[in-house]
Amino acid sequence: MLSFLYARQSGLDDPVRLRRAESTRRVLSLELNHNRDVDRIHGNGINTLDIEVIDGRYMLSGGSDGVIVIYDLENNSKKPQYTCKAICTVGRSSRHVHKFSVETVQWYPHDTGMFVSSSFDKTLKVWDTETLKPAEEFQFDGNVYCHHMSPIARKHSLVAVGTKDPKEQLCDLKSGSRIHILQGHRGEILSVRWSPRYEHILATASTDSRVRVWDVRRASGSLFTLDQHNGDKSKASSEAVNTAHNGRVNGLCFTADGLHLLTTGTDDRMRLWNSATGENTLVNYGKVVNESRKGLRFTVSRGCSPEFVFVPCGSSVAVYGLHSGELITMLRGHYNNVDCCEFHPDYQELYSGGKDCNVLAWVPVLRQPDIEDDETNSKRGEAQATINPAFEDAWSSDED
Amino acid sequence: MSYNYVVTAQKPTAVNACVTGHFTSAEDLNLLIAKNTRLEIYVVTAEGLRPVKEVGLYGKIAVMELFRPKVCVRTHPEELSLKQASSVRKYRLGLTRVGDLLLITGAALLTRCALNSQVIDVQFLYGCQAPTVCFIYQDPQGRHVKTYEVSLREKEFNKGPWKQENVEAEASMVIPVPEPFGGAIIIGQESITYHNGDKYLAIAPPTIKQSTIVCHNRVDPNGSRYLLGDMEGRLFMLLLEKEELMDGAVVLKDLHVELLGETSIAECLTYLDNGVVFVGSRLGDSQLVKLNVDSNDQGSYVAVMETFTNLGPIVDMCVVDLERQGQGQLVTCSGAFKEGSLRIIRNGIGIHEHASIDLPGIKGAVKFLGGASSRSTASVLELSRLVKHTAVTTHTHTTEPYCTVVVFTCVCVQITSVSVRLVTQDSKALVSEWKEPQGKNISVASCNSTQVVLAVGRVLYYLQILTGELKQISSTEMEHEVACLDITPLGESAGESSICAVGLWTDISARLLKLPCFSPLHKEMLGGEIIPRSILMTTFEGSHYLLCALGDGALFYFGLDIQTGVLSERKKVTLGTQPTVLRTFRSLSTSNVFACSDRPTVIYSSNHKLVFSNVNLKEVNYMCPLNSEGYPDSLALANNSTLTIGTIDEIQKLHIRTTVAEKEVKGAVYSMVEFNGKLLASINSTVRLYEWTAEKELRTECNHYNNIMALYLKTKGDFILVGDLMRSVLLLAYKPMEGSFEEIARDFNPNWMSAVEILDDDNFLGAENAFNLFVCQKDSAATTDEERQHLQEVGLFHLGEFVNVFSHGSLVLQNLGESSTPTQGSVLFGTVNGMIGLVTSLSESWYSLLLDLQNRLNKVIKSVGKIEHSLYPSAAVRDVNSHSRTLSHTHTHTHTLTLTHSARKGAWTLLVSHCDVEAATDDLLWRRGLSTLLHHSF
Repeated sequence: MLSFLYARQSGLDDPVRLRRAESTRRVLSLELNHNRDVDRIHGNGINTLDIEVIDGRYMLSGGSDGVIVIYDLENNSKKPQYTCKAICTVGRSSRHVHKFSVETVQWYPHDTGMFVSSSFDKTLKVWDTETLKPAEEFQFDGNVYCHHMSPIARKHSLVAVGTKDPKEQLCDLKSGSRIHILQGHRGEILSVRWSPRYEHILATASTDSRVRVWDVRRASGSLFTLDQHNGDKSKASSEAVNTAHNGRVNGLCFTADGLHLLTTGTDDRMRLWNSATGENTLVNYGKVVNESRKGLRFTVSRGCSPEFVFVPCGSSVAVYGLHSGELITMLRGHYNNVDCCEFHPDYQELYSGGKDCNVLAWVPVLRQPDIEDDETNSKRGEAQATINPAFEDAWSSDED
Repeated sequence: MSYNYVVTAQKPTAVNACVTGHFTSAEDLNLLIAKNTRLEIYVVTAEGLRPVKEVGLYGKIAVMELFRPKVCVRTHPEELSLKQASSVRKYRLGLTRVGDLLLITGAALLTRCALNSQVIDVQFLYGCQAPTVCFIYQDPQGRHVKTYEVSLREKEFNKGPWKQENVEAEASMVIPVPEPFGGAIIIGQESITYHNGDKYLAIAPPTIKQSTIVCHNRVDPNGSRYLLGDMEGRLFMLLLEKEELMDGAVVLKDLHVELLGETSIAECLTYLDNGVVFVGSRLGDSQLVKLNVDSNDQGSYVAVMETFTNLGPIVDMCVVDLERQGQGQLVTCSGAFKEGSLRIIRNGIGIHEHASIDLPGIKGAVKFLGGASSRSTASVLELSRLVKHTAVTTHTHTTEPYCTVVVFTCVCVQITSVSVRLVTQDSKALVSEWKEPQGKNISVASCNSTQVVLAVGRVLYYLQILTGELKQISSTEMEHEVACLDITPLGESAGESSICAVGLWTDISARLLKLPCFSPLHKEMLGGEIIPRSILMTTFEGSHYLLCALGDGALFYFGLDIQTGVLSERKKVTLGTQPTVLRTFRSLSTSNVFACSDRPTVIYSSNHKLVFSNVNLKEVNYMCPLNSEGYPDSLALANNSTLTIGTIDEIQKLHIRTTVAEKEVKGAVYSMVEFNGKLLASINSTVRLYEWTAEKELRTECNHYNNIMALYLKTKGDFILVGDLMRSVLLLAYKPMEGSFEEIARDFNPNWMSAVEILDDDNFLGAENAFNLFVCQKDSAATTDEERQHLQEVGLFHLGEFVNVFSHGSLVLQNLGESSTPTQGSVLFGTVNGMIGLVTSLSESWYSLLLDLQNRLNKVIKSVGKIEHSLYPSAAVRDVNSHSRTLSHTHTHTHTLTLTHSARKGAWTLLVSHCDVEAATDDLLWRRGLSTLLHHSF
């Protein structure tokens, strides 16, 4: 650390290097920490989490019982130990609550005054955060598996919605109407993501084993379909041509820079694709157990070097090197299956939600604070009266 | 709400890049030096480097390359990276052209073309059919070299002619070799290898292993010699030995590396001409070195010709007042590794004292224009004798001379209160004498080598100095008594002035009269009640000026048309509090004016703008230039009791003096400060207060643990500001009664801090990783606990420099007379690139005025390379969401200095047209205030 600090202040290194190195170190040291708890509100499994990007302060969660909770992640306790308080809830008692399981919640990317949720009750609701009442409601013919708003879009305010219907739907928040349909898939759409790089690029994943990348300005079909064999026909059986996985594709995630796209499938594989060309980069993550019948919410780190992927895997969260494919660690702590996880890029913290109704906070281990045990210190002081305790402390903390 | 103004005191001095070539014209050999956001252009002359121009950019210069359109293919990587946004990793690049120069600003150029690996270095190869890049990249297996051909039509990279896998693990640089050899040299930690597809040649000279080679430069156009510089500041020559084959082809035979000697730690090297090399350094002073054919006693072939001061990296600094003159001096810890030093920086101009005599009752200083030989060997003794001698001569006439003695071709003019006398220099014989007809006393006089103008009360007389005779040409009577006058010849008038400048009592006016007829040319009312005490016509950088100093230390200055005598662009500045005397002198072949007063000031021109610079002397009543063998280019300065002879430092620089130093720190204590007689230290995530026990031991009094890593500490009273590695700033209060810390408030933005400072009880200044400054405010009046716990970010400013340290203090003299500095407090900061700046508080009206001015200036000023000013702050990596920006920008304000009059007027008109009537009418206040601000910024 001292060498990084020195290199930063003497200009030998770009200041970003210290930041990346420290972020990486912190991600590698994630653990369940006794200093951090999250209020337990949900009485049923937690399907989805989202942290807003404006202040990095508020987190949404959506549960199988239809309940939506907003947490305050900020530490106002003036102590290292604190509990993330649930500051408001759309509970069962609210007349606006989703009837069935909430599958996706997402903050409006440009303002915390609004968030959007979608549910198996065939609705997508746009909420006013102040009043906790829906400002807008979209009805669909089938279960809504997923939705997503572009994190960068300035020219449109479209919500992409994946439902039981193979047609991808685009809802416009400005007009409050469903304005567009993207046709191509032959199965339910389990996951949908906008590119964080180009505001008109959208990726969709379906039970038909395919992942399609769309430019929503184009009327004629998708830009391309991800092919796990990179066009090599000899390796694929005829029906498996142009498939991303040999099973349902239930998870999608762009890397923070938007250059790559990760997909997960029920073939227990995770694949990394070049998002510009659709090429399979063939990074081998090994077996990534995935039995989810619904969408799987996984995430990638941001600001680290190298970057990491966090994937729910049974009752733990698996951490992989994004480009190496190496399994770095399994974060174990949930008592039942984990359904979602969300990375906090400001502080390199990970929040995960599971069927055990818990939201767990995974926090980097601090560099040992220089906590003195007064008793041992005084004893030591007596024993080694000649040594100035100030020096002693400095040394011991360094070794820690 | 707090409003702050950020201004530059010392521009960045660390050199990032340099390049040599014909830039300003085909004949000029230019050296271009990039200093972070600034670009300096020099002409290489036989005498050394002559500065041509300095330009500021709204961006950081990352790479700099000279090219001639259509001749050189080196432009391609940039074009490609811009066009191929989809396949090449997109970085924020600004591509810009200045004449024939191509600049790329922004983050490092790093491509990820079709490789999941890190590109270490990329260069174009010479002598290929299609443009071909050669690059070193790293993948998990190691480092490899690959070439790619660039298909301009498809805008794609295609496989190139050759590749080399598994080169040295630390290979860091590709040097393309021109024809006839072609191919590339790969520089590693231990070896230097040459590749061209067919041939492979490697050497591993033991000398290079000691350190890492960081820069290179080609010496010969045919690529047979290269300069290499390493992290220890050693300079090597890489020689390519050639061999001619039977078929006439020239191939590489061998590589040799020779150690030339030691320089500053080089960041960049460029070979100028005739064995002269510019060594640009970021960690120490940059140098101009000469490569000699033979080694000196130490075995070095390198001789340093010139050193260019670099303050960077400023790791720490503090303000002290060593000379107890009320003027702060800044001591910086500058440089890194072997270049580490402590430097003392002071605003103003330093005078090196060479000699001084205690001589009570000095009434004036005289100028000896020693001819070719006569008094060129004047020593102190001789001089003092002369001074006495003059006094003696004076005594015989029982009147004191008016201190104007002009020596020309062995004759001198002596003006006393009763007469003007022409005296031969050697024999001191009186040749001619002129007295006022009624025998009245002469009140003021001015003369040059051919003319004398003097005033007796209200009457002006004009005399010409002829050989052996003083001849009265004309006279006139003014409306009021004459207070001061000047007939310094300007322009090409060859020692004779056609204009006489006069300052009058009673109506307090400055007038210009035509000589010899004394017909009035121009009258300028100065206003107020203080009489002009000294008037002077002078020429700076080809522009003529009239300076007029008043009895209260104020100075008016005007542009002067020497043909018509018309004054323009009236400006006022306060130099001191006592009557001021103006004198011209020359330093480094430019003319300067010395204003003698209680706060001596040197006035000179920079970029056609007058600059007023303090001198490190207490009081000077009289001054005259002195140029003799014993004291070349010196000044004689006199006050009531002492005559001092000294030389003046190079003007236009903060005065920088280097002493020694080295420091060593052990342990993970990131910061330590004295706090109420106790020791406050930050140790990893802990902030701890130690108190002294009776046994003189340190005992922990209290701790605070709620940080990620407490890197920086600042204190004020019982308050402690903690700068965290990544959690911005935290305000703690120490409770002496309980002996504990209390968390008062925290900024919850995820700022990665690099320095913190307490501005006042409610405002806190921070600098962070992405080169921004921000101000947080404590809201004590907030109604809820939660609001009180939040420090609100109220100001944000993109500085573009990595700030290492803040320090309260100022380099400017405090309370400069009646000058109405509209600012409060001042915090200095030092950066990695050796920049020193100032943050000071403004009132809201000033802030909005300046902000408005800045926005309007941006419409007038054409930025170099067409990089929009508005883009500059947004280039920060940090996400900034709708923060109120109450830190005014400095970048554009400094531009006002270089604006032409018309442009300035344009900006001003723009401003006036949109300002309140109140602000607009207070034109003078605005100008004075701005000039004070800019004065600060000097």
